[in-house]
Amino acid sequence: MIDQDIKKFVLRTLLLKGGQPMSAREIKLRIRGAFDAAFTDGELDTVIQAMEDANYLAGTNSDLDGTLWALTAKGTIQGQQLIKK
Amino acid sequence: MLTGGPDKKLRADHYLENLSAEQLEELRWVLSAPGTLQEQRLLCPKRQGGPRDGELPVLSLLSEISQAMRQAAAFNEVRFQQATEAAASQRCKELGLDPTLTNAVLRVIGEEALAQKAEKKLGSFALGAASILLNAESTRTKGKQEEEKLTLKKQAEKRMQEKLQFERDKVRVAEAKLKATQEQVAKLRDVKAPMTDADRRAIVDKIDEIMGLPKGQY
Repeated sequence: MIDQDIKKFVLRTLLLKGGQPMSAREIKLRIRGAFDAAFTDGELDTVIQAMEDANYLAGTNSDLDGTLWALTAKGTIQGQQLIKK
Repeated sequence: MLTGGPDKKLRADHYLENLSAEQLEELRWVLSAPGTLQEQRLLCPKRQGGPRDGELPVLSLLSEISQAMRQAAAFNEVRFQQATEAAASQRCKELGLDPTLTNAVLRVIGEEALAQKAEKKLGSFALGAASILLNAESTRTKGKQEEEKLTLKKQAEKRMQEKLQFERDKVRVAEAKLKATQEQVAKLRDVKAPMTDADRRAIVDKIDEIMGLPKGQY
């Protein structure tokens, strides 16, 4: 259940960023700021990986700041539906 | 968030539904204050109406409300940060800075701010990260300047070569002229050389002049 809440949170956050990607570090910091549970890095990496596998997120490599995660078309639609609900 | 969206409503007997505005504000203040959820529960406004009138809210409900409040605060934070980044990005664009680098700097500063907030400390606000990226920009600018310097140096060398070639050509022409003059002088100095018609004519003209005779009489 909490996994689903985190995924929804990540989708909504990325949607609020208006197309701007986020680094894994920023995603983790934001999740930790919004949830009471003390997540390990590994747990949050698993969530990000699961979201990539489900085609909600896509990672791109940048020379300046490493891997950045952005919403895919599927992720954007899903995020918009969450906001409407 | 608790209701699942702006169009949906809480149940009529929901704890929040029966709290007044002041009590909701009190609840928000209590849940934002430090302490465990059990400690916070004791300070929460009691239930109003219904079969549980006067009872304190259960921990699971408070946890849900607290979670929703944190998430709402997190979304507000994202909105605020987005507005700040957009303004900073626009300003950097006006200053003619590279947008890719600007975005990277803003991202690193944003991350640093989040990390400092999570650790509840306020350090030298991401200056380290910013200076690293600005150094990268300065290195890149230096590289460009060096390239320009090299191009200018090559152009100067080319011009120097052209000038040298021009000087060499000038010397070659002068040498050729000198050689021709020297040959002519050598030819004139040669006493054994056969006399030309022009020489003969010059001698006759000179004798005429000495004798006081008109030129071309004989």
